[in-house]
Amino acid sequence: MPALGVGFSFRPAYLADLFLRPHSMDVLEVIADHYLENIADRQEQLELLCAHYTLLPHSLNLSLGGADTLDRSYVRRLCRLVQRLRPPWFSDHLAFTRAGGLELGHLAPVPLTKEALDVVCQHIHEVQDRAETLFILENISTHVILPGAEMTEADFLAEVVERTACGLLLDLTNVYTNAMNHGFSADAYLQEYPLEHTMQIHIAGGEWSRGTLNDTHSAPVPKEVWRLLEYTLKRYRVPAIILERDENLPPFESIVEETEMARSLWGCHAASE
Amino acid sequence: MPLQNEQRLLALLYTSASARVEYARQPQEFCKRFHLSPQACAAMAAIPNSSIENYARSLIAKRLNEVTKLLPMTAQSMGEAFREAFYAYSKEVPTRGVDRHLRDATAFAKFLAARKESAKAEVSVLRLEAARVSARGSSPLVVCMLPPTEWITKELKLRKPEWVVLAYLRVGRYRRWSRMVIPLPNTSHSTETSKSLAGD
Repeated sequence: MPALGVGFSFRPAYLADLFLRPHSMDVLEVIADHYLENIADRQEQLELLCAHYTLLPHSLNLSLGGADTLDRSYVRRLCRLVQRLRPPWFSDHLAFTRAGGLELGHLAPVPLTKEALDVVCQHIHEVQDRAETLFILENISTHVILPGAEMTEADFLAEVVERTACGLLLDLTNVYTNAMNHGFSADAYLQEYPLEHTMQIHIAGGEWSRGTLNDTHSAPVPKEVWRLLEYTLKRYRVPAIILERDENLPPFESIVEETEMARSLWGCHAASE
Repeated sequence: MPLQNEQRLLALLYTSASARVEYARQPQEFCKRFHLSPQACAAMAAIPNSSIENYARSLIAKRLNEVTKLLPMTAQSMGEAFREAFYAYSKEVPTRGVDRHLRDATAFAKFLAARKESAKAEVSVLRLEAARVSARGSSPLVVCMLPPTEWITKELKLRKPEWVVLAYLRVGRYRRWSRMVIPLPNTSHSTETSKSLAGD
């Protein structure tokens, strides 16, 4: 797989700034869901971005861990987008987002059981085969620990990779958030995690509320996540790093500063290989 | 299929305040309704209510955040009442579809419009923003009538306060919009503008 470099998860508010400093990003992630509808200004924006950058589509609603069948219409539109953009890979989450006709509007954890493993693998097979493009699966942050786990998350992900030949998207902020909220060691999690299958890393900053750390993508990347990034890159040179920022959008300069910091860590590791 | 039943139970708990109240009272009984085995019921009932509440709150906070972005002036004009109204609205109304934030904002705008206590100034702001949000959805034509308030006059760049009909019409393969502002009869001039929604 090619080393793509460092970029950010594109937000339309930064479009003008991005083209004023076109070389500030090596690669961009785009939220696939924003471009599934035929809305003129969005499609034109996507064409512009696609002409200048490698785009990595990141979807939010596949509900791969949901026991209900996949949403055929959503899968069809997503795969059409992926085939149009021709990315090296596309991604979604180890989560369910709907069940029994109810949509959650966000990612909910799946139990780490053999039954859930079968469901996730079957769904990834369906999506990956249809898109004819490598799919990568992201770990999520969660408020709820579901009962009945039959394996660790790292083992679950390794088994998914083994069965489907998909790749992984390691969200370090989600690892850190879960470690803070559920009292485990992020380093220990990363030691078990199948890093050699990781194609992309996410980094972001969250906020504390009522004693809980929330993965809000609304703050600069915290020191501890930078440390986890360095720790990870020392062990394996992941092809792409994406900074996520959805809320409290700072001036583009701050986004560039954070991506430059990630690039220096990524570059240091490349040089040491 | 235990996983399917467990997820249906969880989806209901995450999205319905009344289900959470019922579950907190009698968790085992509640779980039984989803055909879970006694063991699965006991395991699910061991999930702390606080973590389910935290997650449910975070779902609502995310929705509120997106709806605030789509109805910014309504949120500004209502202040804290906007947030309170959203919590009341979202207790039992789940989201749906890829364009769920648009649907959410449209449904919430209807919810607000139905509230008798809404102030007149808020109604005009709400109607205009609701029309803009609806125009970004799948409907080919959106029409609304706006009262002659100072705010509407300024926002639509009218020469003087007057009742107007605002229409968004979808044209072409992609959703590109023409906006028309039509003063109602008995007013002194008529205005027609056409531009894309992106600049609206």
